Order: sequence, then C-alpha cells, then structure tokens
Amino acid sequence: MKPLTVAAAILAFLCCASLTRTEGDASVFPEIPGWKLVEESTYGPDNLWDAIDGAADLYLEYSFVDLHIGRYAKSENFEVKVELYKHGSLADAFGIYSQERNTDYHFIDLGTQGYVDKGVLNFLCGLYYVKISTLQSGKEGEEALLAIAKELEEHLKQPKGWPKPLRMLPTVGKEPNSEQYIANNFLGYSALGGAYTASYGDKVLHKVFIIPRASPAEAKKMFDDYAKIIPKSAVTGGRKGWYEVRDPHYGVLQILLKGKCLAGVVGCNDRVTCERSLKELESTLAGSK
Amino acid sequence: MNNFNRRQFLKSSILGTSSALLAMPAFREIGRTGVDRKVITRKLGKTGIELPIVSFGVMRADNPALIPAALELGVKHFDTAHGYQRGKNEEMLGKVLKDHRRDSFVIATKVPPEDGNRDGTLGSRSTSKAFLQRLDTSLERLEMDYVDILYVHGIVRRDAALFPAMLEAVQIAKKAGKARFVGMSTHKNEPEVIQAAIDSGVYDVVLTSVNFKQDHYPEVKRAIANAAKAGIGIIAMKPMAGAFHDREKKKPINCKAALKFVLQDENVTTSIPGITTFDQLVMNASINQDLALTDEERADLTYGKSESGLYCQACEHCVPDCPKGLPIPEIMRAYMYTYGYGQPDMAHTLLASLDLPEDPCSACGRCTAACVKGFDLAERITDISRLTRIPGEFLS
Repeated sequence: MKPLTVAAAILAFLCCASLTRTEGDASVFPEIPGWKLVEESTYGPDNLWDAIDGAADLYLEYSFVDLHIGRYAKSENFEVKVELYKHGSLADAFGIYSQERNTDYHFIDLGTQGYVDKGVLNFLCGLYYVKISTLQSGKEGEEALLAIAKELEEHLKQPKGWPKPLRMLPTVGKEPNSEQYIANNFLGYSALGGAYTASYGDKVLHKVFIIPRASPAEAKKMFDDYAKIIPKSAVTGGRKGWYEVRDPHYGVLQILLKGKCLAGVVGCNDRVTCERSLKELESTLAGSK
Repeated sequence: MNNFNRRQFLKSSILGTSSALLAMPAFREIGRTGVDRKVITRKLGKTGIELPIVSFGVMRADNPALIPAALELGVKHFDTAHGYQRGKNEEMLGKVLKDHRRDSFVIATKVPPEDGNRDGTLGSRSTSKAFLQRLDTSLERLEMDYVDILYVHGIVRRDAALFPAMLEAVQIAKKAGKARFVGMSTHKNEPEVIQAAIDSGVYDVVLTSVNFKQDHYPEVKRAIANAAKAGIGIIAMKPMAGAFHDREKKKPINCKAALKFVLQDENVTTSIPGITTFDQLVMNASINQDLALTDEERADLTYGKSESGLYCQACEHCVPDCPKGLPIPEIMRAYMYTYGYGQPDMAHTLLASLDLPEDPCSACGRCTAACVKGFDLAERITDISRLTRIPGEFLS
C-alpha cells in the first residue's frame, strides 16, 4: 500500500468533517460531578483481545468499531470501570447485548434496556453496549453504578428502541427477554446469518426466527444455500412458501419463505404450538414491507 | 403446517445423532476417511491426558448442537471461560455435556483475577478467595464438580504469572478436587509467561497464542520446547491469527493450513480453534487424521507471512532502542487506524492519551530503533504524530 500523507488525509477529513461529526462522538466520557476520570484507554478490532481476551471473537462478529474503557475514581479505594463498546449498527449492538443477556436478570429502564447484577450494570444504548462495574460492594456501589449510567446515557445521546425486525416475531408464548440477533452462522450454518430469534414455550423451549433479506430472491437464495447442505430428501413441501426440513442436528425445522423474509420454527415438537407460531409469522410477514 | 401430516411430523421430530450426522455430505466425507485413518493424539505434558490434536474453542452459546457433533467426530477437549457471554457459554456446555460420561470429554475453563490492571499487573484485590468464588460460580454453571484444566485467564507478565494469591488459589482448587490440573492462558509476551510457568513449579498447562503470523514465533516455539521439557502441557490458541489478513475480511487466511502449521510442532499437544459452524468443525476435525501440509497450503502460509502490511504485533523489540522511550507499538497502532482503517479519530484519541512530545523524532539524526517487520519507524512516527495538532472534533 502506498500511504497517503497525513496532510492529504487531514485535508480530506476536514472537507467531510461536518458530514460525519456527531454530538455523541465529541467526547466519549462525560465529566461526572464527584468523580474523576483517572484512566482512559481505547481498543480497536485489532487489539480487542488485549482488553477482553478470547471474548473478543464474539464482539468482532457484531461489527465491532471500538472500545473505550474509563476508570472513574471517587476515592483511592472506590473506583468504577466503564466500558463503552461501539458497534456498527443498532442490530449489531443489540446482537452482542443479547448474547450476554439472561432472561432472569433484574432489568431496569435505562437506554433501550439495562440490568443490574452483583457489582455490575450493563445497558444497551443505541450503537453502544455499555458495561459498568465496581468492586465496591453494597448500596454505595449500586448507587454509583446507576448514577454514572444515567450520566452516560445522557451524554451518549443515542436513540432508544429495539431493532424493528423483532416486532415481527410472534407474541404468543414468547419468553420475555429471550430475543436475540445472531449476525453470523445461525444454527451453526454459514449459509444462515442475520437472524432475529426468540424462545417460546413453558418447559421445553423452541425457537422462532426471522431473517430479513434485501429482496425475495435473496431470501430464496439463502434457503436454497441452506438446503444444499442437507440431504435432498430432507426437504419437503414448498406450497405457499411452507417447507419442512429434517435437519440432521435440530430435527424438524418448519420454514416459511414470505416476501423478503426467511422465517421458521426450530425444536418444536408440539404440532399445535408450531402451527400457531407459523400462522402468526405468516400473518405478520404478510403485513410487513 | 398445511402441507404436512401429523405422523410424518412426529416421526421426523425425533433426533438420531449419529445417522443424522452421517446424512450430511460433509460428515459423510470425514466418516469415510475415519475408517482408513487413525486419530492423531498427543499427551498433555505430565498430566497424562491424551488428546486429539484438534480441540474445540467454544465461542457461542447459541449453537449447542455443535458440541455433540464434535464428540461424534472424535473431538474430546472443550475450552470455555468464566467471562464468555457472562457465563452463558459455560451454562450451555454444562447442559449439553451432562448427558455424556464425565470421562468422555476434557473440559477447561479460564477464570480471571478479580483486579487486573491495564498493564497486565494484578491489583491487591486479586485475592485467592475472589478467584475461588469465581471458580465455584463456573462449576455451578457447568453443572460439574470439577474441571479438568483450570486456567488463570489472560496473564501477560511474569509478575502476574507468579502473583502469590493466584498461585495459592490454583493450588487450593487442585487440592479441593475442583481442578484436576491448573494452568495459565496468555496471548501476549508469551515466552516470558511460559518461562514463568516453568519457574513457578505450580502450573501443569499453558494455553498460549501461537500462529504463523507471529513475528516472534521462533521465541514462542523455543519457550514451548522448554515448557515441554519441563513437563508442562502446551495448548495452542489463536492458531488462525484472526482468520483474515485484513480488517475488511477480504483476504481470508487459509485456516486449515494455519492450524496444521501450529500443530507441526509436536510440543503443542492440541489447539483450540474457535468453532461456530459445522463446516469449520468438519474441516478442523479432519486434521485430527491428516496433519500433512499440502504444497498449496505451504504456499498460502508463505504468502500470509508476507502480508504484514500495517499491523504491529506489539513485540516491543523496538522500544528499548528508542532514546526517547516512545511507546512505539501504540504509535504504530495509531498509524494503522489512520491508513489501514480510515479512522483518524481513533488514532487521534489514542495519540492524545500517549502525551507525545511535539514532533517526537526531530532531535534524532538517525533512528536507532529497528522494527522486526521492517517498518520505517521514524517516518511513520513523524507522519502520524502530526495528527495531534489537529483538533479532535474535526476528525470525528
């Protein structure tokens, strides 16, 4: 590569600065009354391993942009660590957040959603997945986490709200907070990616998924690519876009190709429940653009 | 469900793993080769554990079907960590493996010290007690009484490797039967950490990053040989060096060749490539039966090594030779942010945090610091440090 000089690069950036600058980017960490920012570090995709070791690989699957880590100190023995993971899109930020979220957490109203655990407060805030932690135990620690989280939420100025495709998932029987976005290799297949999914049922859970594509042809191609991996005889149906696939690893998958979406049900052994989910999916997808 | 009858539905809902696996074209292929060839195994140092040379780095909890498929293909060792997906990774493994005989698999988890600093040192709150509490949490998630290998996670310095509270913690864990063997994981300053493991007399295993792209691979290899001589088992991680030569992911690394390369060293017992698809699983597991590098794979590795481009591996060989003590690896990273990623704002933030002098190389006639990759350090430092004179908001 023949590098440009920085002077040329700066000139180019100055020209387009007004187009790309956002308020949220002006300064990553806000000043917080009563706290001093004592340490700040930045990591990119090339060295995320230095910050979070092997956990980095999963973050990199979700269009990871950068990680800013800051330490706020109130006193010598009272520090709060803030990690701001920025991702390339709302879906990606939600995706990595959902990979670490459990359904039984104590959720709080912060950003799009947050939760508190022992010494930890994590929340989803637009393009950011924010993690705040302290070794300070007790109420003092909890109050500090919340206070700093609120300052950060205000400072980051990010849009609230879930990725839109989640609205297309059936509502009946859905386990709260089980929604996920799987950017790549859904179900372990490289042919499937960009899946929104949630768990359904009481004791034995099954999954419903939706994969929105740019066009009906792309949705069909994705299905065809998946079907190529498994034996031909395992795919039956096809009328009105309904398929049944006997997947070697997951048993029966009910698949629906509707408009720009590839959708389906995995791991459901109850016919009535399965049918209900599929009909709801079909109805929702019929109304979507 | 308008197209399917009930009997067909129920019949096809029943999973039959072995026959199902062999129904897939890729699995049929490996099933066929498996008849002819023996799985290559190696002993993990003095632990006596015998492992196939390819193991499984468990990356995600959302595709649990990969685990039984891996067992079916002869993979035996699974590697997870306390921190992966806030414990969901360990929970998934626990759920899947509880139906398998405990001695049919080897499980490792990595527990981080409580109070790690940015420079890799450990703070005073990295106590034995806190570490052991985390281990108990991991065991609960895994639904197991013990792990086969317990690592102290992410050690990058000698003093951290020999930190008394961690040495105490792993020995307590071992004595209590919560870990059969103990070790450390390291992905930076590997030779130093491996030597510390040898000197400690405590650790049985080291999980180290090692791959064909490392500039200091000869040193890592030497350290591995020394460890093996001392009876320490070596497990390799990051064997595929990120799977791509470039950030844009347009130049894929030949992963099979990269994995084979690492395993050519017989002092490496096994490797734990991250696996997230059945395709990757089949490809990796095939190496358990055939480790020979093809001519094409050798050529790909040679090409891959020359693709050094803008990436500084932070070997820090240059640092002692810089009379101004500049943080050269960080400055090279800023250079890469600008010219490689087109993100001068990130470079600016990084440079600002380094508190560099204005025009850092101006007082030196000739640069005395040399880069093992051949980067012209003075030129790059002079070039990129000019960014610090631009207000950050113009670069966002």
